[in-house]
Amino acid sequence: MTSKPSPGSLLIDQAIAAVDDAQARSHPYRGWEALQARDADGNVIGLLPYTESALKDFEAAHRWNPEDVGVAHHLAIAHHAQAWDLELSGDSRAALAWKSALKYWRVVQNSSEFWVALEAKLGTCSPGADLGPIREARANLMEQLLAVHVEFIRHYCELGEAQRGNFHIAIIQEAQISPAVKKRLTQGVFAAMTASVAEAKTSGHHDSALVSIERFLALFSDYLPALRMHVEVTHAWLSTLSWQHEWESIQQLHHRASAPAAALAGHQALESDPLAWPALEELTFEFILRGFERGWSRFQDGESGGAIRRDEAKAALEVVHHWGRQAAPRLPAGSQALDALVGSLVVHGELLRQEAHESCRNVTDPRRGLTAARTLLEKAVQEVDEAGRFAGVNSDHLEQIDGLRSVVQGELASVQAQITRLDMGWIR
Amino acid sequence: MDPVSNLWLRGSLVNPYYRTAFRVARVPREVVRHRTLVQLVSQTRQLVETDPKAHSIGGLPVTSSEVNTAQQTLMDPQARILEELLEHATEKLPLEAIRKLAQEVAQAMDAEGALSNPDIKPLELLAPTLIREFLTAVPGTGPSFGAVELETPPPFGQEEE
Repeated sequence: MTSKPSPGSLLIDQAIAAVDDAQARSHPYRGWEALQARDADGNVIGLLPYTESALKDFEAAHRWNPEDVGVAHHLAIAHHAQAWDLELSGDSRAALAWKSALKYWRVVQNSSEFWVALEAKLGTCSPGADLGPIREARANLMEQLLAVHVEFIRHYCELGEAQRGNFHIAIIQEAQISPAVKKRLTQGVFAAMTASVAEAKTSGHHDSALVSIERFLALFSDYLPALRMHVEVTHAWLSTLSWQHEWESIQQLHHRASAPAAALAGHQALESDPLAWPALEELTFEFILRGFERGWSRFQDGESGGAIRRDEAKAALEVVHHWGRQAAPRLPAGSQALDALVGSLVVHGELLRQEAHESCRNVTDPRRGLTAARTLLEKAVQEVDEAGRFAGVNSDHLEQIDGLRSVVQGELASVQAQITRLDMGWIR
Repeated sequence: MDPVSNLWLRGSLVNPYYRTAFRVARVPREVVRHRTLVQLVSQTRQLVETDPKAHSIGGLPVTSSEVNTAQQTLMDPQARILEELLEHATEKLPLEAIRKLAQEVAQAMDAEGALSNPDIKPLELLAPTLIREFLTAVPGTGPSFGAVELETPPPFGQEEE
């Protein structure tokens, strides 16, 4: 038979249970203890911002009582400090630490209790003190914390290690913040990533300048200042290139600049930037000028140079068409650029006509040759018509356009008739 | 000093949590009394001027210039309050209530004459109540005031901490 425990021992058990429970709720204290920096003799010499042990205790405290904003503040400091150290040492664990830190800082920001206590303490230290800076600090807390990431992006770009900034860019992109704050931070990232562009452009290192801008546009494809900057750097580069000796480079630049320029041309906020359209117009003019000079030169050589020269002419004129069509709605009537576009369409139409003539001479497969010729002539008609629309009613090109249209339409009709006769078996 | 400039960016990407004004000046976050503050900062300044290596943070000695800057921060109430964002609040074990409980139990045992009279039924009834009161009455951590503060720290010019 077991003896009943004495009242005294029961009381002791209850007291132990009370102490155990107090200890369970003492994680904040243990965490704080774990932050104490000590010398070799164990004397406290300072307070560390974090230790692994402190983080564990504070996390336990947070699980015990998620409402305790004091613990959230401990965690915000500890995770943030740890993230910083990990980042500076290149440790990939920094990513998770940054996210944890921002999570807890947001808890702090959202806690009225925390900021009311801070304001009360300010009142204690300095009765009647202006509470504005504290309230401003609370309102701007996330923006200030995210500005840290903008600085890391800048730092890595300056080191030539832009890819190390990718995680920080992601943090900014994914942050739950107001559009105005996100806009300011994006401006900060843009400035950081394109800090070297001005100098690169001045010193003629256009390729590296474009690389910096393109790296930014890969992340923020619709950012108007970046699109304009790309157009401006492209223009600066293009201005140095000769259509006679550097046509390949011009063509590569055309392919590289097409998408950003198209994005700029179609941007809904284009009018908000008074420098955007002029930049695009200047670039358009440079491409049209060089493309037309090259195209016309090759067209004139084409009569003696054959198909190769004709194809080179077509390729050059197609550059003119791309840029001209994009800008045409905004180009003033009678402008040099619009005039060059009209001329280019007419010349291209003539080239298509010449190609159609060659195609008609296909004796191996006459129907195929005629069909191809019909397609070319139809396209030529379209381009001549397009030239007519751009030319307007007062253009000097009108007579030429009308003349070419008549000729091409006549030839198209003739080709169509030959195809019909072939199909009917009237000719072989 | 502009109290609302970015606390986390002070001219470079150095981790801002190591060299806070509190750590540099060796002033606990809980100190609010002006006289105490000045005294502590003065002691720190004297220390670094006498022996530059006596006060180091992360292996780097704290300079007089840093102490001066820290003092400016701590003397500016708004800047000081914002600096507290970077500094852990002091935590204390909630021992006061346990001590109080132990004292009450001891007093109850003395009153009942436990050694001479084995009947401690009244104490058995009292103890769970005391323990329950203790468990529910332990206050949460004051977020800015640090440990389990039962009273607001006195303002300037009054009692020592």
